[in-house]
This record gives sequence, structure tokens and C-alpha cells, in this order.
Amino acid sequence: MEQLVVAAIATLGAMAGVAGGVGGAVLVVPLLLLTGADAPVAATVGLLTVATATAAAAPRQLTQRLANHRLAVTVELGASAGVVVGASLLTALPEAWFRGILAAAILAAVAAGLLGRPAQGLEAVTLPSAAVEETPGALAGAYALGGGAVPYRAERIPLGMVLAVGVGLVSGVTGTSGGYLKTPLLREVMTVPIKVAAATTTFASGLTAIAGLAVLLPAGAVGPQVAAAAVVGASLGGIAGAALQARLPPRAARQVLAVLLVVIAGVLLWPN
Amino acid sequence: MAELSGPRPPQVPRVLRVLPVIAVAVGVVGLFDHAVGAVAALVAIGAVAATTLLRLALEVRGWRWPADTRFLLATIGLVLIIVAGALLGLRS
Repeated sequence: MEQLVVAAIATLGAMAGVAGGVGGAVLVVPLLLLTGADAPVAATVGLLTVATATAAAAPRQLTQRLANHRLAVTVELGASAGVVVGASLLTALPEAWFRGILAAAILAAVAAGLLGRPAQGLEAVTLPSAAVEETPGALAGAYALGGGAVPYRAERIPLGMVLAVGVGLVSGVTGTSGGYLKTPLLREVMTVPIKVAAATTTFASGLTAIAGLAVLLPAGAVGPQVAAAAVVGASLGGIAGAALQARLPPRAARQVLAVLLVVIAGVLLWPN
Repeated sequence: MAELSGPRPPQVPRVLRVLPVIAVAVGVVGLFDHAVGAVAALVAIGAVAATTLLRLALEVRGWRWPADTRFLLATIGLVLIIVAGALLGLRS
């Protein structure tokens, strides 16, 4: 029975999260918590949702050639260390702290979703489309836009890696992808174009989730069948969410989801 | 004509398309068939993790040497962190 509840919540959370552009875990984790799951279970299912979404996005991402894999492993060096520490702390963390940190993470996701910069119109095409690739030996490259390519180069790399440790810590403690912090980190601190930042975050978040799950699954946070339920639910919800996203007006979808997330954050913070 | 239509999109390795499908199919079996549930669930989780790790491995294979050595070291560091996390999880 427990696995059917997890499958249903993972499906609904992933569908609404993907349709609203914030990913699934930021909805799945609080919904599980509000239906009586304890923090390690909710966080593990959340990270499984993230890992599943990254796996499902791989073919599309490789075709688009927006993600920078060299940048992802560089940032992940810090984020993965953070998520391992965060996931290790999870069982020792008082429930009230978990709810508080999760509510703060949800509000950060809302802020990132509503205040994020538009994906197009900021960078100028200066190269032919044949130049689209990651630059060997550097955290740089060019991405496709219109009929050409836009060059970019990541800056402030040591600062980005240090801040990524904090992002990973939040991710490990809350069971969410941390993408709502990682994309702004890549964009605002490391000056990576938003389209590259978002695509790189999707890939990097999968690595973050795997590092967190490496701690939580062997520790027995959830049983195998609950884990399978999370994978199935996240997959089906992700497909449905992507289809829904194509039909809904993006701004309205984000605003409805933002209101829902603020309400959930409020419920999490409400004293029991 | 080829120049006018731009470069072809890169081919995605079939295994990266197949693994997520396997994860869902085996996960559904694990959900409803309690006799094979645990094994099926492990295969589903493995397929999900393998997709992302295999994608990274395939990317690394295409990197250029010695220019990309520091990124290879970062990748090795990342794998070591994941292994350390698993050891922490097993001990707790």
C-alpha cells in the first residue's frame, strides 16, 4: 500500500513540478511529509525523482547540446561533497529543522522560478552554427541560438565550487535537486548563459541525486519497492508534465505552482 | 545544401534511450509482483543511475588529452565521493 501512495505522489508531484518548470522533488518531498512519511523516506524519494528526471532528459539534452559536461563535473565536485554530508546529517536532524530548511528551499525555488531571467534575448549570435560545442580544456563553449552560435565562458570558478558545497548540503538535507539554487549560481556567479546554466543544472542534479542516494539507499531509508514506486511515478509524471507544459501558458503555470508551493511552505512551518 | 540546413544533431547512443524505459518497465513489475519486487526495484534504480553515469562516461571518452586532464581528475574525484557516500550509508 505504501508503495502505491509513493507512486501516486511521485506522479502528481513530478507532473505538476515539470509543468510548472521547477522539477518534481520540490513538490514530492513536502507532499510525502504531509502524508506522514518521515524525513529520510521523503528525502530519498525526492532524490529518486531527481535522478529519474535526469535520466529521462538525457536523450533530449544530448540532441540540444546545451549542457556543458566539463562545467557539470567541476561544480559537482563541491555539490556532491555537500550532498553526502547533508544526507548523512538527515537522520540526526530534528523534524522541525528539516521542515524549516525544506520550507526555505521551497521559497528559494519559488523566487528562482518567478524572478529568473528570460531564456532568450540577452546574448548575441556571433559564430556559425558549426561552432556549437564545449571547448576542450576549458569551462567554455558555444550554444546554438537561431541559425548561429553564442560563445560563453564560465568565470569565478573557485567561488562557484565553494558555493556549490552549500547547494549540495541543502540538496542532501531536503532531498530536492537544488536546481533552484544551482541555476542562479551558474548564471549570476559564474556568468554562464541561462540556457546553458539550466541544461547543465539538469545533468548535474542527476549526479547530486546519485551521490545522495549512495548514502541513503544502503542505509535502508526506503525499501526497494518504495524506491521502484518512486522511479515509476517520477517517470510517468515527468512525461505527463512535459506534455502539460507544452499546452499551458508558461507564466500562468509558474504562478499557479508558485502559489501552491508558498501554501505548502506555510503548512510545513505551521506548528503541529 | 548541407551547409544551408546546418549541422546534423548528434546521434544519441541507443543505450541512453533504452535504460530509462527499462527502469520504468522493471519498476512496474517490482511494484505489483512481490515475488521479484526487491530484485526488480534494484534493477530499476540501477538503470536510472546507470543512464546518467554512462552519459558522463561517454562524454569523458570524447574529451581531448592532455587538455582535459583536470576535468578527468574532477570526474574521478566525483566518483570517489559517491563511493565514500555509499560506504558512509552502509556503516550507518
